[in-house]
Parts: sequence; C-alpha cells; structure tokens
Amino acid sequence: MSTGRTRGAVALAQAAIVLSLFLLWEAASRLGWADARLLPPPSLVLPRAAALLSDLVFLGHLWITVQEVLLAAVIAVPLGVGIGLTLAESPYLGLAFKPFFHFVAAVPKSVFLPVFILLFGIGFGQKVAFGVFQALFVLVIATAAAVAAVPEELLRLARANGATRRQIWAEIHWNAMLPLILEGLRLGMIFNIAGVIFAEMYVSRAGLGQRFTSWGESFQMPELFAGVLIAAGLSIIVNETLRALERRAGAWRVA
Amino acid sequence: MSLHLADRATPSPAMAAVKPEIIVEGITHSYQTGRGPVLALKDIDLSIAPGRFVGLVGPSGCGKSSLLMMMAGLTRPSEGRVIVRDAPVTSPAPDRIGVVFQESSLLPWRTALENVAFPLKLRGVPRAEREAKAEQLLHLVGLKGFENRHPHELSGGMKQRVAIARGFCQDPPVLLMDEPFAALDEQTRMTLGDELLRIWDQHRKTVVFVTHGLTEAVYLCDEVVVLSGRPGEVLARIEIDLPRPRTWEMMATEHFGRLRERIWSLIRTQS
Amino acid sequence: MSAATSLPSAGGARISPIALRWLCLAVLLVLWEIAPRAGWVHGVILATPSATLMGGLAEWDLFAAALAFTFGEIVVSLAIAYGIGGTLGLLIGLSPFGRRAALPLLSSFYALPLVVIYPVMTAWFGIGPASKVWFASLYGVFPVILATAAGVQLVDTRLILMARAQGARIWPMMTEVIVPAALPAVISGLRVGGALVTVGVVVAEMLASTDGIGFLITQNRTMFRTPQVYFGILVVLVLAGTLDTLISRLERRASRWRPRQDDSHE
Repeated sequence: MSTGRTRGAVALAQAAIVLSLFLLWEAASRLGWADARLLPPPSLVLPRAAALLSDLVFLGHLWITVQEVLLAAVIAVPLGVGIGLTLAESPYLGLAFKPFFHFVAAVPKSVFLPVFILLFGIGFGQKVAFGVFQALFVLVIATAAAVAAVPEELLRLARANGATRRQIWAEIHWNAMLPLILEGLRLGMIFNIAGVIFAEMYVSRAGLGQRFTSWGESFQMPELFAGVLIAAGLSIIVNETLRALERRAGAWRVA
Repeated sequence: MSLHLADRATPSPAMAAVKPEIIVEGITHSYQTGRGPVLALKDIDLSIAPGRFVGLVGPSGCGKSSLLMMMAGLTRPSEGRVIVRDAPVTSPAPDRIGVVFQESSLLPWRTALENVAFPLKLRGVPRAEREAKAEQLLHLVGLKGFENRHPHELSGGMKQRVAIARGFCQDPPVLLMDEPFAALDEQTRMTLGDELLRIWDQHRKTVVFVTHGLTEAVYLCDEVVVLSGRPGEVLARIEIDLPRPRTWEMMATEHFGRLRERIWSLIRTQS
Repeated sequence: MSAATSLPSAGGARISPIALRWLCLAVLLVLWEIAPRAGWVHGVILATPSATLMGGLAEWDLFAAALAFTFGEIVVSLAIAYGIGGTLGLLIGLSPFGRRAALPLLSSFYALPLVVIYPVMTAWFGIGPASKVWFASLYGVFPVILATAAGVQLVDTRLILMARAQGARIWPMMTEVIVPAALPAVISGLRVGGALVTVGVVVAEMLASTDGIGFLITQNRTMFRTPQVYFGILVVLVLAGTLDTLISRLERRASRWRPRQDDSHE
C-alpha cells in the first residue's frame, strides 16, 4: 500500500544506498584500502566515461554493439512471439515441442558460442545470430505462458455476447497477454545484450565487448571501469523502461 | 453507560470468595493508523474465577481478539495490565497460558504428533518424552491413528483438534481460544464444541473463548462477556445458568433462547 | 522431415505429440550425422555425433582433468554464492526497509550484463581459478538473495504468531518456522543460482583461463579441432544437467510436506 509519499521515500533511500556505495568506492580507492591502480576512484572513472562518450572511436564501437542488439531483437521478437503463439494455439504442437524450448532455455546457452563462430565467423552477423539465439527461447516460453494466462471466463463472456474473433483478440487477448509478453521481452533483451557483449569479448574485431577485453589485457583500468559503467547505465535504461511499460500494461492485474 | 445487568467489575457473588485466575485491569488501547490514533479498547476491567468457561462476544471490530492477544502476552496494551495467577502477563507464558487460534496455525511440514509436541520441543524436552505426551493428547482429542499425518491430509476439524491438543500440551491452567471453530462448518463446530466441553470437564481449566457465534457462546460458556462496538467496553456479563453437562436438547429450550436474545439485543444496539 | 510436415487436420490419424517430438529429434540427429559426411556442411563447422564422441573420448584424460578443475571452481563458487546469498537474502527479507529499498535495487543489478565485470576480475586476480570463483559467485549470488528474500516474505504470519504464543525465541523461530516455510522458494533460488554459477565459470574459462573445460573448448576452437569443441560443449551440458537434477531432487524432498500443487510451469 505505497502512497506517493512512501514511494518517494523509498526512491530516496535507494538513491542514498547507491550514493553511499559510490562514496565507499571513492574512499577505498583514495585512502589506499585498495590499490588505486586496480580500483580507480569514481572521481577518475566518471570523467573518463564522459570522455569516452565524446570520443568518436568509442562511439563507433558502441554503435556497432547497439546495432547488433537491435537487429537481434528485431529478429528474435517476431520469431519468438510467433513460435510461442503457434505452440499455444495448437495443443498438439505445444505438447510436442514446448518441452524442447523449456529444456534449451534451462541449458547454459553461452557455451554454444564456438558453434556460432564456426558457422558464421567472427563478424557482425555472428553476433546478431547469437543474440537471437539467447533471446529466442525465453520469448517463446513467455508468449506461450501469456496465452495460457488469458482468463477462460472472460473469453466465454465475450463469446456469449457475440464478439467476433478479431474483437476478442483486440479486447481480451491483447490486454491479458501484454504484460507477460513484455516481461518476456525484457528478459529476452537482458539475454540478448549479455550474449552480444559476451560474443564481442570472446573474439571480435569491434564492439563494446572487444574494447573491454582489450582494456583488460592492457590494464587500462580507468577506461575499463568507465566502459563498465556505461554498459551498466545503458542496460539499466533499457531494463527499467521495459519494466515501466510492463507495469503500465499490467496495472489492472492484482499483484 | 450503566445497565441493570451484572456490574462489570465484580464477579458474581458465588465466586467472590475465590481468588480470581485472570484479572484484566484498566486496559485501554489505541493504535496508530494513517489517519491518526484509533481507540480500540476502553477501560476493560474483568475478573475471572478459576475453572470458569467465559465467552467473549461483540460486534465485528470491537477488539475482542485484541483483548485476547493482550491476555496471551502477544500484544502490550497502551494502558492497563493483565494478571494471571498473581503474575502480570507481559510476554507469552506458554506454561501458564495456552492459546488456540483459528485454522492454519499448524506447521505444515510437521506431522500432527510433531505439531502437538512443538511447545515441549521449544522447552527442550527430549524427543521420546514429548512425543509420548503428544500421543496421549492426540488420543484425548480423538485423533488416535492420525499421529503421522501432515496437516494437509487432515480436515479442518481434525486440524483444530490438533491445535487444541497442542494447547493442552504444557497443561496450562488458562486456555485462551480465538474463534477456534470459525473456519469450520456448523456440524463440525457442534461436534468439536462437545469434545471441548468433554475435555474441559476432565481438566477444569479457565477458558476464555472469543466467538462470533452466539449459540456457541451460550452453549459452551458459564458466562458471556459482551463488548460494545469500537471502542470496546464491557457492556455486560451475562451468567449462563444452564445445567452441565450441556446437551443439544437445551438449545431448543425457551431459557436458551432468552439468553441468546439478551446477548443479541445488546450487540444489535451497537452497530 | 516428412512425417513432421504433414500435419493432418482433426480426424486424421496422428502420432502422439511425444512421439512427434522424439521423431523430430531423431531426424535431426540423423541429419547431424549425415550432413558433414555428405559434404553439405564442411566438417570444420559441424562435426558428426560419431566424430564428436570418438574424438572426445580419445582424449578423455584431458577432458576429465579439465572437468575436475572446472568442477572444483563450481563447488567453491556455489559455497560462496549460497552462503552469502542465503544469509543476505534472509536478512533483507526479514527487514521491511530491506524489502522495499534494497530488493528492487538488487533485482535491477541482477539484470545487468555481468559478463563485463570479468576483465576486472582478471585484472585483479589473474587468470587462474580465483578470478573464476569470484566472478561466478557474483553471477550466482543474486538469484539466491532474491529467492531467499521472497521465501522469507512468504512465511505465514499466523504461524509466527502461534510460535510466539508458544514462547519461541528468535533462534527456534528461525529454525522451526521461518527457514522451513521459506525453504521451497530458497531451493528454487539455489537451482537458478547453481545454473548461473556453472555458466559463469564456463564463460569465464572461455574468455581467459589457464585450465578447465571452457579453456579446453576455446583452445580446441582456435586450433580448429571441431570434434573436440563439440565434445567439450557436450560435457558442459551434461555437467549443468547433472547439477540441476541433483538440486531439483533436493527441491522435491524439501517440498514433500506440501499438498500437491498443480504448477505446470516447467
């Protein structure tokens, strides 16, 4: 039962926690609790991050990563939702193949990266394919679950009132399914981003992940931390935006 | 607010000579809500003689459960205190005061036997001893053979029997019961009511029984304390002078009906 | 793929869904074996199942040693992730402030691509087992914290009231009421945490390591020894599957007291 005031208080508390973590970090680095070469302070890292964001070379790498993620999403979402809908609409196909998707979803998919390298090389396409692979399964499962979550009583009610298939779809299915599909989308994006960056770190000529690996190998710690913060910041933006959309779409749900 | 019924503070003459088992002294309780303080109970003074079966009734929200929680030592009143057997109650005292709640107070991952033995386990009683005692108690409440069942395998009535057996486990002189039969169907309620009276008859404990059911209150109790609506005050203490052992035929008598009517007319004015 | 493509409409004789599934898998397996042999796919890209098994088993001692190394890292990481995660989850779950403020923060953190932390770990701890353990522990600790906190919140407050009425102090309250009530949720968290620890270790080994299955896979890949690459992947899958089966068996035992719940999620 959070009123506006309590939510504000919580946000404040969270900001305080994050701020104190940063302060702790600064102190640890400056006061010598940790080696400043290995743990550069925020006062060094944050300006470096700003510098990176205005450096064209870095932005070029970032852009490549963003493109890979977006393209993977554009492919994975229709594909995943489409497969999920197919599996849900046909009980026969669902029974046959849903366990397969559950199984692969539970498996550590990152270990398949070498296969993608063998198949697609180490370029742009391979990263996209891997991103699709990471995101696909959770999307399929979430979509199938979303269809199953549509309340049977509402469907009966609509049909009893003479609604057409299209109307039922637009009024009931869409609203009931949207929150769950958005959740699948959010999780899918998380796997997508993590997968693409991992692929870039593993072996790549360009991209954010490649920069991380290179900075790590040459012990350029301020750049590395700056890059981590940037990647974290972007991921948080994506994740929280989708979460906010998810909450809006699901506002009618009770808890 | 004076009524011609029994004076709230003093017990009925026959009991005056005996030292009271439970004394509720000047309890007034308020709690904070978003909109400011709410007065829940006001000036509650009660004195209960040992071995009495006392009912506590009142309209919804009158604070009878809260009062019981204070008697159990689970809540502290804003003002006033509870004394059981000359010792004030400030925290749970399972050796003096047993509590039986509504349904769902059994540990789902333990068997009936282990649930009954639970208070003894907390006291550090060794396993063989406490399980032997628990077995005895389960037999007493009519659940012989169900020792190794888990709560989800028991019906509502059986679960409450286990809860009652647990209440008797440390043999406390006082037993507080918070609407123990509320979640059960009427037939089970009547059967369990008889069971409770049978067991009570063997081990005369002092019982305070909170209930919404007026028929139940009149059937089971020696006297019924009626609380007013919020803030809860003692409206009346009605003596139930029906003979014991109680029988179901008594429910059809005019006397029973009149007692019920008296209680109901008091409560009705409160809403 | 002939049997799968002809889906008869209602009324026609169909094979059961389960049979269909196994049939498709069998067909895939056969194709997998044939395609490289028939030259449809180059042998460097796709190693046949038979080549994978033979190539891998021929070097079994190498794989076994790497597996043992990886397994050790996993076990230590699990201990850390479970221990710290369980304790933190318990503390946060029991505190209203923790629940409202800290949990959402943790869940946001969980969503980050933590793989980017690994270069930091290697810079700090080198490319030996230590960096893997710290990395994988971090990877696995979040689901454990979140699930434990959730489990603690699920504890029926009426049970706590009852236990208090029985005079239970804080330690018996924990062991008799809170932990057993939270246990099913906690164990499902352990399951996810275990899976993530495994992934974390393997991923880290693939990126930079001196030993381990992930390292072996990478090594074989750079030398284009494709059957060994596939075999390595297979070993990882079996490892992850075994761990998951063990934990889910634990999960079933811990939930034995629950009435049968019809959760057809997984």
